[in-house]
Amino acid sequence: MGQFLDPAAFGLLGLLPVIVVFYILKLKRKQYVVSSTFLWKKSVDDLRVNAPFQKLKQNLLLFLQLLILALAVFALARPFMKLRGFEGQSLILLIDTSASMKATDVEPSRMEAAKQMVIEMVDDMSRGDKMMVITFDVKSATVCSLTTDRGLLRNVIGTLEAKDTRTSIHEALSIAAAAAATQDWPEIVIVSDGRFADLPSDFDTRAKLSFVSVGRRGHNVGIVGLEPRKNIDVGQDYEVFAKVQNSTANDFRGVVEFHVNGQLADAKEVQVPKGERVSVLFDRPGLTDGVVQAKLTEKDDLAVDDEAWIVLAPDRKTTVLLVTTGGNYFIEKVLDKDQTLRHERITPERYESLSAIDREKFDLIVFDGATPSRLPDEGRYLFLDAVPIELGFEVTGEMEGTGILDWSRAHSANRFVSFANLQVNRAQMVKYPKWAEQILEAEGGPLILSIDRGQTRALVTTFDLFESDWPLRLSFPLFVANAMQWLGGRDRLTAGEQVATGDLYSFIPDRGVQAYTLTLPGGDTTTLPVGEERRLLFGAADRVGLYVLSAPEQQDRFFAANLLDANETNSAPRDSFQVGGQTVAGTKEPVEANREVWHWLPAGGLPPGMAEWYIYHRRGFI
Amino acid sequence: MTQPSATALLDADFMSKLDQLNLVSRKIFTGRMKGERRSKKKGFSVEFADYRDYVAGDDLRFIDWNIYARLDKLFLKLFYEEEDLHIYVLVDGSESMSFGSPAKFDYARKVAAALGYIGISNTDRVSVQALSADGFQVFPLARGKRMVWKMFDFISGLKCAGGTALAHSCRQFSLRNRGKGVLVIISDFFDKNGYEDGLKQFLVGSMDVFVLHLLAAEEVDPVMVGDLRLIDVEDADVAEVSVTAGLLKSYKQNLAVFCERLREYCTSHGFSYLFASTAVPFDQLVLNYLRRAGMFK
Repeated sequence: MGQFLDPAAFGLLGLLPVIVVFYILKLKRKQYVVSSTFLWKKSVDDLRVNAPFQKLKQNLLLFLQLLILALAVFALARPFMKLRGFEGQSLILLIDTSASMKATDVEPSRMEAAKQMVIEMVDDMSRGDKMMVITFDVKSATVCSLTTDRGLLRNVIGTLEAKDTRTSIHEALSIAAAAAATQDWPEIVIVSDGRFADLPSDFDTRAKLSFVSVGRRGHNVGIVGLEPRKNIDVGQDYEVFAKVQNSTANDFRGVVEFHVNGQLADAKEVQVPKGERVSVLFDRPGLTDGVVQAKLTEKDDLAVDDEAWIVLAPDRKTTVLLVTTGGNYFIEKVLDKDQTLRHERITPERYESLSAIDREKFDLIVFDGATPSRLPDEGRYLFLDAVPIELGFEVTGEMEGTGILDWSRAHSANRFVSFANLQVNRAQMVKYPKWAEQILEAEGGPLILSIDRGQTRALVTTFDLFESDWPLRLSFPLFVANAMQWLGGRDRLTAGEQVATGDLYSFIPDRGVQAYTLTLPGGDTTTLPVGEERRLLFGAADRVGLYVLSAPEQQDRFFAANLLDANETNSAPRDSFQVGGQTVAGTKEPVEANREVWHWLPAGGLPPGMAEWYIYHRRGFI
Repeated sequence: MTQPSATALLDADFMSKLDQLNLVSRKIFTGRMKGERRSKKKGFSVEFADYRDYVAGDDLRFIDWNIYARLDKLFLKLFYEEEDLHIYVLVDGSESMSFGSPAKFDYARKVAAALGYIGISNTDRVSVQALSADGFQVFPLARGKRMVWKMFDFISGLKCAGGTALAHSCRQFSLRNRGKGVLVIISDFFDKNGYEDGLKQFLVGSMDVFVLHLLAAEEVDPVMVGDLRLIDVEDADVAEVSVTAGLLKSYKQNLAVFCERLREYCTSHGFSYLFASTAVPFDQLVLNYLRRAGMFK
């Protein structure tokens, strides 16, 4: 109580004095002739002496009228009470089905608890109430559009299951806001553990936002990263780093098991202070390919993040396409020397005539003084003295004889590289997009920029090698080698073989294969026919684990889907979230609607009204 | 107020009932004319009372000759003298008596007519007087049945007007009527100056005083609601009241106290107090109520 939808109505309380004035004006007493007034006067005097409330009793009608007005004003102010359920409203439910909802800190799981609460809300629906159910994990789905059919809603809600994916609420919110826009009394209720990013500050909806917070505690240790790396010292061997995050209230001590192709290969003890992350290194001589599984053996609230897989592909040379008009001695020399690379040289004209498929055969493309007319949506590029307009760059002029100001030592491409004393005679001045990072900066502007956006990685040098002394310096071959690794290196290779759960897995099928049989982590199989498209897509990898693609007369191909999301692993439920700079506080109960109670007030005004009528007609007896 | 005619005032049926009533007096009064009432005064009637010595000038007809023959002494036979009774009916003629339905004044006039009729029927002398601050309206002492209709005409013509001035009125009455007799005063005794000064005047004479305290039914049990401006019918005094159950209760208590004080005053001064409400049908009052109260045999 105590909340009003329309507090302005209290201004009407100004009518109270009006009633009093009317009452005084109205109190023109009826004349009544009596034989003598002295007994009456005596009686009135007696009453004044004996009954202090007589005044009030005499003005009972006035007080009743004031009470009725007060009740009416109160009703106009539209007070509401928090009551469970809702009335005449359209309730748009956003139900979190992300991995963290699998946490078992509430019995039997957060998902089941959420479903239970939502079904209670369905039970509390009044006639005319509508409900819509949208689930959100990494994707969102409208599982039930606005309906008054409670049976349908119960069925739909009953079948909901949490997936192994991370959380992204924005799309679901957009759908909800769009649905709310057409409704009279919309309310968006988010049923979640709150492990999602805060809503964008410009998110706006006319609907009321509520948040039902599910979950009791954050007691979870999980693997939030699993990365392979070439061990430089031991040639072709891989090392695997597993990042373990402790989201419990205590320090964690446990064991990370590493399995290779299903066989336990190593077990590492790990100590993680509360709230922190620790990397565990797994290396084994001769680890060049295979499937590595990292596994935390300790039991905690959330099981999905206790395992992660990585598919290590047998090493193969990075294929580089060098697009150059007249050849570039220095770059070709460096590419030749690198044993991990294999490169082809073509002219820009030839490049333009290449088909998309032919282009995709190359891991990365080096443009030497030539800018392509268009770039594929994703790719790895090194631009030498070329400014890619496609990526949002723009040439604004030239600068001469500029000195080095600074360089980004943290960037992978600058590993072991020093640009000190580099002389650049002439360079292009560029305007670059905001997502580009300067990794070599001269007095006049950037000399080398890096882009790492989506599936695209690019390094852009704005000067001609021959206008500088760079090719003669040690930093040049080092930089190119680093760039080749960063742009087209192993992480791209492996990235292709592992996806985040819920993401699209795409691959180029082997020639001659008509259909692949995909074995899912649980053992279920599904068939992926190969059609006209030369790229196969699989979008249902929403379970953590290893996926096996098999086809007749072909070696099995593997890919892994992992959660590896620090936000999901940190399963502590949030009690509130921010939207547009405003905090939406969560409740632990099924949502309570602002059930307006004003209609009780006129009803409440009825007894005083009837009392007034009665007293008016029975004055003298009361 | 419509003045009821004599027949409307008392119908024949009621008057025949009145014939059967005798007015009772607890004292034996003297009167100028012999009536049907035995007097303490010994005199000349049929009922023997005593003897006394003959003195010169006594009526020879009352000498007991038998005693003279035996004792040779003259004795005079004495008889209880029968004398007529003076009945005064005083009706409060102030404006306040016009209140009520039926009006207290009409009711009082009927009672006065009945009492007068009874008195005359019993060969008593009857005087009916209306008193108010405006002055007296007097029907002088009269006897004989032929006077009944004159009396009724007088009563019918009575008007109530003016305020109550009991003290003044009663004093005037006492000064003019020094004799003995029965005095019935019918009033509501709503005198803002109090009734004591008025009633006190009757102590001077040796009258047998009956105080008939007459209130309208509306006064005994008021039926009024709402916020009222009460106006005193006599002096236009105003009392503003909001009628509530509490006020009514208080009023009734005050009225009861008022009546009780009056009754106490009357009994302590040798007056007979009778309370009457206009709610009691008038003939019932006269036939049963007054008789029970000891006014009639």
